[in-house]
Amino acid sequence: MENTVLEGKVVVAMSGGVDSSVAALILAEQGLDIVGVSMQVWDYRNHGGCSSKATCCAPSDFADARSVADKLGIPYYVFDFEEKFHEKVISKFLSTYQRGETPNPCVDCNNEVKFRELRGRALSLGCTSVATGHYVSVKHDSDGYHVYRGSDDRKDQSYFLYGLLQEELAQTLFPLGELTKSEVRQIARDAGIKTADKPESQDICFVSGPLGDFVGKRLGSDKKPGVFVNRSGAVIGKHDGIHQFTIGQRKGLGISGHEAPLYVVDIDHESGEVLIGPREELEVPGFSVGALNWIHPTYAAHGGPVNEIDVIAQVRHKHKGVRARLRMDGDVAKVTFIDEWTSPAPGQAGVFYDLQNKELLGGGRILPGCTNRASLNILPEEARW
Amino acid sequence: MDANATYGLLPEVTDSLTQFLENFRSKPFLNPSSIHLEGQSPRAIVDEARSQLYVQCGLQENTHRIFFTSGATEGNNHALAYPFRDLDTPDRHPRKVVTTSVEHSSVEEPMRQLEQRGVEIIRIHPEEEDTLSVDDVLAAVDEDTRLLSLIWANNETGIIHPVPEIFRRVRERYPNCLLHTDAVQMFSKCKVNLKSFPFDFLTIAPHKFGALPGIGVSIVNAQRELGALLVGGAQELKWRPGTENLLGIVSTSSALKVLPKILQSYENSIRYIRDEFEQSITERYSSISIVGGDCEERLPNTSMLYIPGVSTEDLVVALDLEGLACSRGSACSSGKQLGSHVLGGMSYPKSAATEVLRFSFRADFPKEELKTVLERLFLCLDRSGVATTVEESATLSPQ
Repeated sequence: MENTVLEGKVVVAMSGGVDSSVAALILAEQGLDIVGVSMQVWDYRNHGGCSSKATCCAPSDFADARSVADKLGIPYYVFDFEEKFHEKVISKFLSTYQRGETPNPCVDCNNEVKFRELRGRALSLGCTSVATGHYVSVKHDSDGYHVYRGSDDRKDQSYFLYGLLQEELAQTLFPLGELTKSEVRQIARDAGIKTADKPESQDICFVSGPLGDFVGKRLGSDKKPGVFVNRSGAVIGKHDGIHQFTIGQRKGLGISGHEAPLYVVDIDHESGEVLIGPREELEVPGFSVGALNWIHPTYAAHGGPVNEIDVIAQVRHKHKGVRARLRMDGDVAKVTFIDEWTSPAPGQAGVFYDLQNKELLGGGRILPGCTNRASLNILPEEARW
Repeated sequence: MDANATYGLLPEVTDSLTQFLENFRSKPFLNPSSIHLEGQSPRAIVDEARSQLYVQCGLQENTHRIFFTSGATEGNNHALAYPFRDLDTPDRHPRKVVTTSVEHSSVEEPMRQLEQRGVEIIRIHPEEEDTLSVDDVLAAVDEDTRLLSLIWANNETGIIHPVPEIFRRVRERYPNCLLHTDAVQMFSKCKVNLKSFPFDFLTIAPHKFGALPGIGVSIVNAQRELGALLVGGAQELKWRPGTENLLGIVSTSSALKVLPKILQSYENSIRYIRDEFEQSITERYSSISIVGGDCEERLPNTSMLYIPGVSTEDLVVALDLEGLACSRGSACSSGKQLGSHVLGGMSYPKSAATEVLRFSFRADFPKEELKTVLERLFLCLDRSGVATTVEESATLSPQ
């Protein structure tokens, strides 16, 4: 990592997991003046008590973070972020499902909670920078700040960080960018940090139990039940809420008796119709992205690339990315796949990298209209993206 | 400045503990209730500590029982559980409790549990930023009241309630009503005369005046038929079985010897430092007010600031980073700060619970340090955006 000497104190976001523990350790060893902070975004007393097994914010997580902070000899505090988290992440999560789209709470949490709200608190504590254990690298040159995928392909988290602004990058540290997960665990073991082998939190941090239940319970009577239809409009099944489905989903449809595997191709939140089709109907030639943020300094300065550019487009967290052509149309990016088509889900993050698939250029929210809708009987080439 | 949370070990206490451990190095036998010869020394220590308490409180063995517990939380739980130990058996025992809305959680939580089990709990609000009204309490108590439980001095606002007077009047009218007071803050900050009023349970926490945490003192009326909460042994004359916490008792004993000096310092010196502290702050920030600031009866060391519009969660941390400790209500088991619940009875907006800051000075706070404390506090308050009086008047444009 580029070694910038920072003046002032750094707030390190600590979750109690090994990544943030090692991030704090590395910065402490570099001699920076750090303060460990946990953000409690979810209160177990309201959702099943202290023994509830969700994947984060359990009292034992804070106890882990506290003991790591104690070992490093740094101050440690827990802040109440529940209201903000509810407002910026959970509400949006639920309303996105209601629109038949697929939310990405991690993006919202990073943008609004981890980097904006936390930064605000850090300033009120007299701290000038924020650090996290994200696997991502930042480099600085005469144009500005550049963000790169983390060295560990399997752990790279750059996809979730497309929303960072240049000014924010100037005051954020990512100590783990050039390390692999196993290197991080080894550093923790060597330092005697007890969370060295703690399992990772999987899935959505605030959901324990089936996701469908979590969302269904909160939507209550706002759930949208309906039918499954195929391309010809024939009804092939029923469901009790569109919130349970996402584009490209194959499992949990409850539809049997067909030869080829079937996928969710489209979700109509007004009628409750879920279009099911084979793989060929799932893939589309392109998509549009709104609510964009450009990180690359040149694009950041001009609100996007002025001309058409070729990029690697990633439409899901575990998607390796495919070549695509991008042009700006007002505030929206129109993206056309070049060699390989795929199936973007509206609501997810569409993130763009350079052609080496290393530097994160920018990203935004995938807009509806990129799927094949049965009711309009549109063939793939004419898809209204 | 968070003495109300815990005082910290007095040097005299550390000395006595070190001495004690040294004395016992050769015969490390610490069970005061043993029948063996070895038990004699530790036994003597417990007996002496207890006698000391009787003397310092001016009480007699035939009228009051003094026994050691694990802390005031246990003591308060005992006072509330004992009278209702037979709740599940059908009987004609009265089932009403009168208490306040500003109790410590070790009283409030057991109250809630009693409520869930069918006991009627009447919570009296103190008068606006003032003490409990004697008349309000008297009006609420009747023949059906089994227990009256009143906190003597509130740990957050410092407001002192007229418990002796209330207890005297209630005892006169309703002699069957049991009287309990959480005296944790009052006993550790002010001179009290425990002979001057009737009570049945009184709880004290020695770590609030410089002893070790993990030890409590309960004083119980010996002339009533009151009994133990825990059972299973003969220690403390069966009032509180369990092998005694010798170190806690030793520390209590030595802290008690220093207590009169501490109380004097609070009254003669700290009170004025606290007043100056409050004045300096309210002069500089017109939006900040002192909760209970106009109340005549307040603990001499406690100051609760109300800073409207500022969530003091960050302030507590910022001040801690500057070396100033203060608090704002209790902490959750995660370490996250909860707000204060004592404002509920007064006409503050709901948001006020998270906009208060409590400072509680130790008896040995040096006057010279006040200037530095204020400087750092002002730095943090300014950074939080609290407008100073100067700025406010500057925004008034000339007409």
